[in-house]
Amino acid sequence: MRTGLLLSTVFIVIAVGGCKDSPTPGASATAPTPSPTWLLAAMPTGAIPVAEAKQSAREGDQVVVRGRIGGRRDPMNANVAVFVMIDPAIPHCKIGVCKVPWDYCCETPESITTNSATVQLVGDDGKPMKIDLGSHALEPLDEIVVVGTVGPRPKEAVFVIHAKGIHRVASLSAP
Amino acid sequence: MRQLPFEYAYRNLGRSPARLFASVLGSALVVLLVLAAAGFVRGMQLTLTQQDTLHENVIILGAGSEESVERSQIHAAVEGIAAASIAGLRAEAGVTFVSPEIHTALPVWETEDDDTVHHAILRGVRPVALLVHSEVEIQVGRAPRSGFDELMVGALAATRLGFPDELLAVGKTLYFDNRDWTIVGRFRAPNTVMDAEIWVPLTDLQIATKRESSLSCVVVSLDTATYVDVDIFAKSRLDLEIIAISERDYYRSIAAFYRPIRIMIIATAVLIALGALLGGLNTMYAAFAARVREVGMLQTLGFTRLAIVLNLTEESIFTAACGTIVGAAVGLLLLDGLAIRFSMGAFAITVDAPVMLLGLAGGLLVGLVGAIPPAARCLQLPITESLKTH
Repeated sequence: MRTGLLLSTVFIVIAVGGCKDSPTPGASATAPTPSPTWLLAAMPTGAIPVAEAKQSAREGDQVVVRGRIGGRRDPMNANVAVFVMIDPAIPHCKIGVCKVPWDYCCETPESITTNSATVQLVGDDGKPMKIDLGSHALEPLDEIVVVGTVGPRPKEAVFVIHAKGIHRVASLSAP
Repeated sequence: MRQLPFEYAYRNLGRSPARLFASVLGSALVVLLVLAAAGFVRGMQLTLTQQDTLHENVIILGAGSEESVERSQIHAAVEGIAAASIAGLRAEAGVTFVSPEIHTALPVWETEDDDTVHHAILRGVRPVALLVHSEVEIQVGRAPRSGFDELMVGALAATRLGFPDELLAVGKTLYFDNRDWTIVGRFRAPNTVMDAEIWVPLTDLQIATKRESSLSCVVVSLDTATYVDVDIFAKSRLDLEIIAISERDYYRSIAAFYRPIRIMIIATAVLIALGALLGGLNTMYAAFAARVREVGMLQTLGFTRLAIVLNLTEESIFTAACGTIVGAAVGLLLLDGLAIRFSMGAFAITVDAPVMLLGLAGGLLVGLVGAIPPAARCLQLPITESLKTH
């Protein structure tokens, strides 16, 4: 009698537990990963292109800059959130002309330098975040808007933005 | 199963010295061929693939020149800016391991009156280059001094230039940029492209190439810093128009460029080896076909077909092993270290343990594969017919 009661209890516990764990029809088995706070869903207002921002921005300025990831053969670093972006008005090279279209090899080095900015997505410690932006669907030639603060400018050609947020406007590689 | 004694196999070898010689020679040639092809590929691979070195180096070069450091041109100030900006670079006794360099290909002559142009690969360096490139070891003489028209040559530089080695001895001269340059040292950097280079003081080469304010690249050795730190520096200093690439990745990309050549060499070697194998098979067919009656007699005496095949295989492998030893010895003596010139400089054919293993396996395979089909063919005939064969 006691054994039967014990077995019944175990069966009920397993059945209830099993019911709890079993996915409800139509629901996903795993909860969706929340977007990181730096990946902005809404388009920030007042964005200006890289070339314009580069001409006027000073160290410490809050800026909203629009550009396209590119300007180097490897514009993004796979281990840390640092990349080079270029003014969206600069036409990227056609596929087949350069090794990769986002290296802007058809532009002169001077033009690339004048129209480029470095973006460092920084964390609370002010250092570049150790993440692969590629894993957040950002890739070369994506048009983006960056919100951040201008870093030190030892020279006019140096333009580093310590970004707190990135909004992806469009991807050229998207179907 | 009653087996034939091994003695029976090797005693048979003496019956036809000419055939034995042909079989041994065939095996030796196959081994030589395998050693040559594998040693060539291995030597090129080792030269273009940076091995584990003492330091982890990163090359800072011009944006857009990722494929060739010789095409790269960066401002001479990059050296100082990199040393000051990147924390965690290797430093010893107050010297930071940052090597500004010029890589260039220049025509050189033996003397002013020499009509033949020789194309040399020159690297302009400061003394710190010997710290950054730990593989470089000065064997004879000393490092060249700036302002004295001095240079030092790598162990394979003579091959690259098409000179006999004696012409690049310490004390000899080379002529370029309208003057003689004295060889004051010889260095070696095995299995690296540097082995075929000529090293000149940086300032002297900057003047000779008329690029006083520019460099080809800056090579830095990492300590606590990582490649990421150098990459962040390169990406942040847009004014310098530079990129960072790890030395290993740079040479890996060059090795990938030469991949089709390696595949072609391997394919050619396989085809020739196949030809040699078929030649060996033919010899074995001829050798065994003449012994059909003997095989029939052995069967009559009660030896099974498997025992006879085993004995014939032993005989064949024994012959091939003799040829393999001859081929391996000749290959080791003649091929190992043989310098080959190619566009990136020169490299040495390398007959090391893996290559030798491949050669030995190839030789023994000839013996094994060469024996079984003809032996099986001999045994196909009924015993009565075999015994009647002349």
